[in-house]
Amino acid sequence: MPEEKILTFEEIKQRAGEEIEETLEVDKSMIRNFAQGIGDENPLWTDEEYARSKGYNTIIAPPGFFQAAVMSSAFTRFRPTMNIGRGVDAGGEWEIYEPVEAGDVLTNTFKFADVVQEEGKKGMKTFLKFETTHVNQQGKTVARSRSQILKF
Amino acid sequence: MAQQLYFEDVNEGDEIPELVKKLTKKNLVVYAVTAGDLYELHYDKDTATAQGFKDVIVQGRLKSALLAQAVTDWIGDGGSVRKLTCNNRGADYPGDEFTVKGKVLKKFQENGENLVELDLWGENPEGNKTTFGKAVVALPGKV
Repeated sequence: MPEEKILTFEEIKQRAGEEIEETLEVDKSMIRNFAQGIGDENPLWTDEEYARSKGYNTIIAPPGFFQAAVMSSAFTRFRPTMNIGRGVDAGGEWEIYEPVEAGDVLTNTFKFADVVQEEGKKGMKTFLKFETTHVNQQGKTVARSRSQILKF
Repeated sequence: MAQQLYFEDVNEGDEIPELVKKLTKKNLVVYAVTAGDLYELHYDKDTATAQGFKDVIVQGRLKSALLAQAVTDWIGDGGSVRKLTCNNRGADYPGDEFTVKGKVLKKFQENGENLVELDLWGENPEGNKTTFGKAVVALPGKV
Protein backbone atom coordinates (compact mmCIF):
# COMPACT_ATOMS: atom_id res chain seq x y z
CA MET A 1 0.00 0.00 0.00
CA PRO A 2 1.50 3.35 -0.94
CA GLU A 3 2.17 5.67 1.95
CA GLU A 4 -0.80 7.94 2.30
CA LYS A 5 0.06 11.59 2.14
CA ILE A 6 -0.48 13.66 5.27
CA LEU A 7 -2.84 16.51 4.45
CA THR A 8 -1.58 20.06 4.61
CA PHE A 9 -3.28 22.69 6.75
CA GLU A 10 -4.89 24.17 3.62
CA GLU A 11 -6.16 20.78 2.47
CA ILE A 12 -7.69 20.10 5.90
CA LYS A 13 -9.20 23.59 5.99
CA GLN A 14 -11.00 22.97 2.68
CA ARG A 15 -13.02 20.22 4.35
CA ALA A 16 -14.43 22.42 7.12
CA GLY A 17 -18.19 22.03 7.28
CA GLU A 18 -18.32 18.34 6.28
CA GLU A 19 -20.82 16.21 8.19
CA ILE A 20 -21.33 12.49 8.78
CA GLU A 21 -24.61 11.13 10.10
CA GLU A 22 -25.15 7.87 11.98
CA THR A 23 -28.03 6.15 13.73
CA LEU A 24 -27.47 4.68 17.17
CA GLU A 25 -30.02 2.46 18.88
CA VAL A 26 -29.45 2.65 22.61
CA ASP A 27 -30.72 -0.49 24.29
CA LYS A 28 -30.82 -1.68 27.90
CA SER A 29 -27.73 -3.87 27.57
CA MET A 30 -25.69 -1.00 26.20
CA ILE A 31 -26.58 1.19 29.18
CA ARG A 32 -26.09 -1.59 31.74
CA ASN A 33 -22.76 -2.60 30.22
CA PHE A 34 -21.63 0.99 30.19
CA ALA A 35 -22.50 1.32 33.89
CA GLN A 36 -20.64 -1.92 34.59
CA GLY A 37 -17.62 -0.71 32.62
CA ILE A 38 -17.30 2.44 34.69
CA GLY A 39 -18.27 0.61 37.89
CA ASP A 40 -21.23 2.88 38.68
CA GLU A 41 -23.92 1.12 40.73
CA ASN A 42 -26.59 3.83 40.58
CA PRO A 43 -29.89 1.93 39.95
CA LEU A 44 -31.07 4.66 37.54
CA TRP A 45 -28.76 3.05 34.97
CA THR A 46 -29.72 -0.58 35.66
CA ASP A 47 -33.05 -1.04 37.45
CA GLU A 48 -36.17 -0.34 35.38
CA GLU A 49 -38.56 -0.27 38.29
CA TYR A 50 -36.37 2.17 40.17
CA ALA A 51 -36.02 4.43 37.11
CA ARG A 52 -39.81 4.40 36.64
CA SER A 53 -40.27 5.42 40.28
CA LYS A 54 -38.18 8.49 39.42
CA GLY A 55 -40.41 9.47 36.50
CA TYR A 56 -38.55 7.87 33.60
CA ASN A 57 -40.04 5.30 31.21
CA THR A 58 -37.13 2.93 31.73
CA ILE A 59 -33.43 3.04 32.63
CA ILE A 60 -31.45 6.07 31.47
CA ALA A 61 -27.83 6.48 30.41
CA PRO A 62 -25.37 8.09 32.84
CA PRO A 63 -23.97 11.46 31.71
CA GLY A 64 -20.57 9.93 30.93
CA PHE A 65 -22.25 7.95 28.15
CA PHE A 66 -22.45 11.09 26.02
CA GLN A 67 -18.65 11.20 26.00
CA ALA A 68 -18.25 7.61 24.80
CA ALA A 69 -16.67 7.13 21.37
CA VAL A 70 -19.80 5.41 20.05
CA MET A 71 -21.74 8.61 20.76
CA SER A 72 -19.47 11.52 20.04
CA SER A 73 -15.92 10.71 18.97
CA ALA A 74 -16.09 12.74 15.76
CA PHE A 75 -12.49 12.41 14.63
CA THR A 76 -12.70 8.61 14.47
CA ARG A 77 -15.42 9.10 11.82
CA PHE A 78 -13.27 11.43 9.71
CA ARG A 79 -9.88 9.79 10.28
CA PRO A 80 -10.20 7.13 7.52
CA THR A 81 -10.40 9.87 4.88
CA MET A 82 -8.50 12.59 6.71
CA ASN A 83 -4.87 11.70 7.29
CA ILE A 84 -3.46 14.35 9.62
CA GLY A 85 -0.55 12.29 10.92
CA ARG A 86 -0.56 12.08 14.70
CA GLY A 87 -3.42 13.54 16.65
CA VAL A 88 -4.42 13.45 20.30
CA ASP A 89 -7.67 14.13 22.10
CA ALA A 90 -7.49 17.69 23.41
CA GLY A 91 -10.72 17.64 25.41
CA GLY A 92 -14.25 18.72 24.81
CA GLU A 93 -17.47 20.11 26.13
CA TRP A 94 -20.89 18.45 26.28
CA GLU A 95 -24.24 20.12 26.73
CA ILE A 96 -26.97 17.73 27.85
CA TYR A 97 -30.61 18.76 27.39
CA GLU A 98 -32.57 15.54 27.84
CA PRO A 99 -31.80 12.13 29.30
CA VAL A 100 -31.26 9.22 26.92
CA GLU A 101 -33.55 6.31 27.81
CA ALA A 102 -33.12 2.69 26.79
CA GLY A 103 -34.94 2.20 23.49
CA ASP A 104 -34.04 5.63 22.15
CA VAL A 105 -32.93 5.77 18.53
CA LEU A 106 -30.50 8.63 18.15
CA THR A 107 -29.46 10.41 15.01
CA ASN A 108 -25.90 11.50 15.66
CA THR A 109 -24.35 14.11 13.41
CA PHE A 110 -20.58 14.52 13.38
CA LYS A 111 -19.27 17.76 11.94
CA PHE A 112 -15.73 18.77 11.14
CA ALA A 113 -16.15 22.42 12.03
CA ASP A 114 -12.74 23.98 11.46
CA VAL A 115 -8.99 23.75 11.77
CA VAL A 116 -7.14 26.55 13.51
CA GLN A 117 -3.56 27.37 14.40
CA GLU A 118 -2.74 28.92 17.74
CA GLU A 119 0.52 30.21 19.13
CA GLY A 120 1.57 27.89 21.95
CA LYS A 121 4.51 28.00 24.37
CA LYS A 122 6.48 25.65 22.12
CA GLY A 123 5.48 27.11 18.77
CA MET A 124 2.42 26.91 16.59
CA LYS A 125 -0.24 24.37 17.51
CA THR A 126 -2.88 23.03 15.13
CA PHE A 127 -6.31 22.12 16.48
CA LEU A 128 -9.07 20.36 14.56
CA LYS A 129 -12.49 21.33 15.89
CA PHE A 130 -15.45 19.00 15.80
CA GLU A 131 -19.10 19.31 16.78
CA THR A 132 -21.72 16.65 17.33
CA THR A 133 -25.50 16.81 17.66
CA HIS A 134 -27.68 14.03 19.08
CA VAL A 135 -31.38 13.96 18.21
CA ASN A 136 -33.79 11.32 19.52
CA GLN A 137 -36.68 9.62 17.69
CA GLN A 138 -39.06 12.35 18.86
CA GLY A 139 -36.96 14.98 17.13
CA LYS A 140 -35.64 16.39 20.42
CA THR A 141 -32.01 17.41 20.55
CA VAL A 142 -30.75 15.54 23.61
CA ALA A 143 -27.14 16.74 23.57
CA ARG A 144 -24.44 18.59 21.67
CA SER A 145 -20.70 18.46 21.95
CA ARG A 146 -17.66 20.42 20.86
CA SER A 147 -14.29 18.72 20.97
CA GLN A 148 -10.83 19.16 19.59
CA ILE A 149 -7.92 17.11 18.36
CA LEU A 150 -4.38 18.45 18.65
CA LYS A 151 -2.36 17.65 15.55
CA PHE A 152 1.36 16.92 15.92
CA MET B 1 -29.64 5.84 45.58
CA ALA B 2 -27.95 8.98 46.65
CA GLN B 3 -29.66 11.35 49.03
CA GLN B 4 -31.26 14.33 47.31
CA LEU B 5 -29.23 17.52 47.25
CA TYR B 6 -31.05 20.86 47.20
CA PHE B 7 -29.87 24.16 45.75
CA GLU B 8 -30.15 25.80 49.17
CA ASP B 9 -27.69 23.26 50.63
CA VAL B 10 -24.89 24.27 48.26
CA ASN B 11 -22.36 27.02 48.91
CA GLU B 12 -19.62 28.36 46.68
CA GLY B 13 -16.33 26.78 47.69
CA ASP B 14 -17.98 23.57 48.98
CA GLU B 15 -16.11 20.38 48.21
CA ILE B 16 -18.10 17.45 46.89
CA PRO B 17 -17.63 13.99 48.44
CA GLU B 18 -14.59 12.20 47.04
CA LEU B 19 -15.22 9.23 44.79
CA VAL B 20 -12.47 6.63 45.10
CA LYS B 21 -12.37 4.10 42.27
CA LYS B 22 -10.14 1.13 41.63
CA LEU B 23 -10.80 -0.09 38.12
CA THR B 24 -9.96 -3.59 36.97
CA LYS B 25 -8.82 -4.59 33.48
CA LYS B 26 -12.28 -6.11 33.14
CA ASN B 27 -13.77 -2.63 33.58
CA LEU B 28 -11.53 -1.35 30.79
CA VAL B 29 -12.52 -4.16 28.42
CA VAL B 30 -16.25 -3.80 29.09
CA TYR B 31 -15.90 -0.04 28.61
CA ALA B 32 -13.92 -0.48 25.37
CA VAL B 33 -16.59 -2.69 23.84
CA THR B 34 -19.57 -0.68 25.05
CA ALA B 35 -18.14 2.74 24.34
CA GLY B 36 -17.00 1.56 20.92
CA ASP B 37 -13.32 2.36 21.25
CA LEU B 38 -11.20 -0.71 20.57
CA TYR B 39 -7.79 0.96 20.73
CA GLU B 40 -5.41 -1.81 21.94
CA LEU B 41 -3.61 0.57 24.32
CA HIS B 42 -6.42 -0.11 26.78
CA TYR B 43 -6.35 -3.93 26.83
CA ASP B 44 -3.14 -5.19 25.19
CA LYS B 45 -0.05 -4.84 27.37
CA ASP B 46 2.36 -5.26 24.41
CA THR B 47 0.83 -2.24 22.70
CA ALA B 48 1.05 -0.27 25.94
CA THR B 49 4.69 -1.13 26.72
CA ALA B 50 5.71 -0.43 23.10
CA GLN B 51 4.42 3.10 23.74
CA GLY B 52 6.42 3.42 26.95
CA PHE B 53 3.65 2.68 29.47
CA LYS B 54 4.18 0.10 32.22
CA ASP B 55 0.76 -1.45 31.56
CA VAL B 56 -2.50 -0.79 29.74
CA ILE B 57 -3.91 2.62 30.61
CA VAL B 58 -7.41 3.70 31.54
CA GLN B 59 -9.38 5.33 28.72
CA GLY B 60 -9.51 9.10 29.09
CA ARG B 61 -13.24 9.16 28.48
CA LEU B 62 -13.78 6.44 31.08
CA LYS B 63 -12.12 8.77 33.58
CA SER B 64 -14.42 11.57 32.41
CA ALA B 65 -17.36 9.25 33.12
CA LEU B 66 -15.99 8.81 36.67
CA LEU B 67 -15.86 12.58 37.09
CA ALA B 68 -19.52 12.57 36.02
CA GLN B 69 -20.29 9.75 38.47
CA ALA B 70 -18.89 11.78 41.37
CA VAL B 71 -21.37 14.47 40.34
CA THR B 72 -24.43 12.22 39.95
CA ASP B 73 -23.59 10.53 43.29
CA TRP B 74 -23.52 13.97 44.89
CA ILE B 75 -26.61 15.58 43.33
CA GLY B 76 -29.02 12.64 43.73
CA ASP B 77 -31.72 11.48 41.34
CA GLY B 78 -33.63 14.77 41.33
CA GLY B 79 -30.68 16.74 39.99
CA SER B 80 -29.37 16.60 36.46
CA VAL B 81 -26.09 17.20 34.72
CA ARG B 82 -26.46 19.95 32.11
CA LYS B 83 -22.89 20.42 31.01
CA LEU B 84 -19.61 18.50 31.19
CA THR B 85 -16.15 19.29 30.02
CA CYS B 86 -13.18 16.98 30.04
CA ASN B 87 -9.48 17.18 29.52
CA ASN B 88 -7.15 14.26 30.05
CA ARG B 89 -3.51 15.06 30.87
CA GLY B 90 -1.90 11.92 32.22
CA ALA B 91 -1.96 8.12 32.28
CA ASP B 92 -3.75 6.09 34.94
CA TYR B 93 -3.51 2.35 35.41
CA PRO B 94 -6.08 -0.30 36.32
CA GLY B 95 -5.53 -1.51 39.89
CA ASP B 96 -4.51 1.96 41.05
CA GLU B 97 -6.79 4.14 43.10
CA PHE B 98 -8.22 7.01 41.10
CA THR B 99 -9.81 9.68 43.29
CA VAL B 100 -12.31 12.15 41.91
CA LYS B 101 -12.60 15.46 43.73
CA GLY B 102 -14.63 18.54 43.04
CA LYS B 103 -15.37 22.03 44.26
CA VAL B 104 -18.32 24.38 43.77
CA LEU B 105 -17.27 27.38 41.68
CA LYS B 106 -20.55 29.24 41.65
CA LYS B 107 -24.31 28.92 42.03
CA PHE B 108 -26.72 30.91 39.95
CA GLN B 109 -30.21 30.96 38.44
CA GLU B 110 -30.87 31.00 34.73
CA ASN B 111 -34.13 30.50 32.80
CA GLY B 112 -35.84 29.55 36.04
CA GLU B 113 -33.33 26.82 36.84
CA ASN B 114 -31.09 26.48 39.90
CA LEU B 115 -27.62 25.87 38.52
CA VAL B 116 -24.31 25.01 40.13
CA GLU B 117 -20.96 25.08 38.38
CA LEU B 118 -18.20 22.78 39.59
CA ASP B 119 -14.54 22.23 39.06
CA LEU B 120 -13.66 18.52 38.88
CA TRP B 121 -10.43 16.60 38.75
CA GLY B 122 -9.07 13.09 39.15
CA GLU B 123 -5.93 12.23 41.11
CA ASN B 124 -3.61 9.25 40.85
CA PRO B 125 -2.22 7.49 43.99
CA GLU B 126 0.65 10.02 44.16
CA GLY B 127 -1.88 12.83 44.36
CA ASN B 128 -1.09 14.17 40.89
CA LYS B 129 -4.01 15.50 38.88
CA THR B 130 -4.31 13.54 35.66
CA THR B 131 -7.83 14.42 34.55
CA PHE B 132 -9.66 17.71 34.56
CA GLY B 133 -13.25 18.69 34.00
CA LYS B 134 -16.08 20.99 34.83
CA ALA B 135 -19.78 20.44 35.23
CA VAL B 136 -22.94 22.47 35.45
CA VAL B 137 -25.81 20.79 37.27
CA ALA B 138 -29.45 21.72 37.78
CA LEU B 139 -30.81 21.16 41.30
CA PRO B 140 -34.27 21.21 42.81
CA GLY B 141 -35.06 23.91 45.34
CA LYS B 142 -36.65 23.27 48.73
CA VAL B 143 -39.63 25.50 47.92
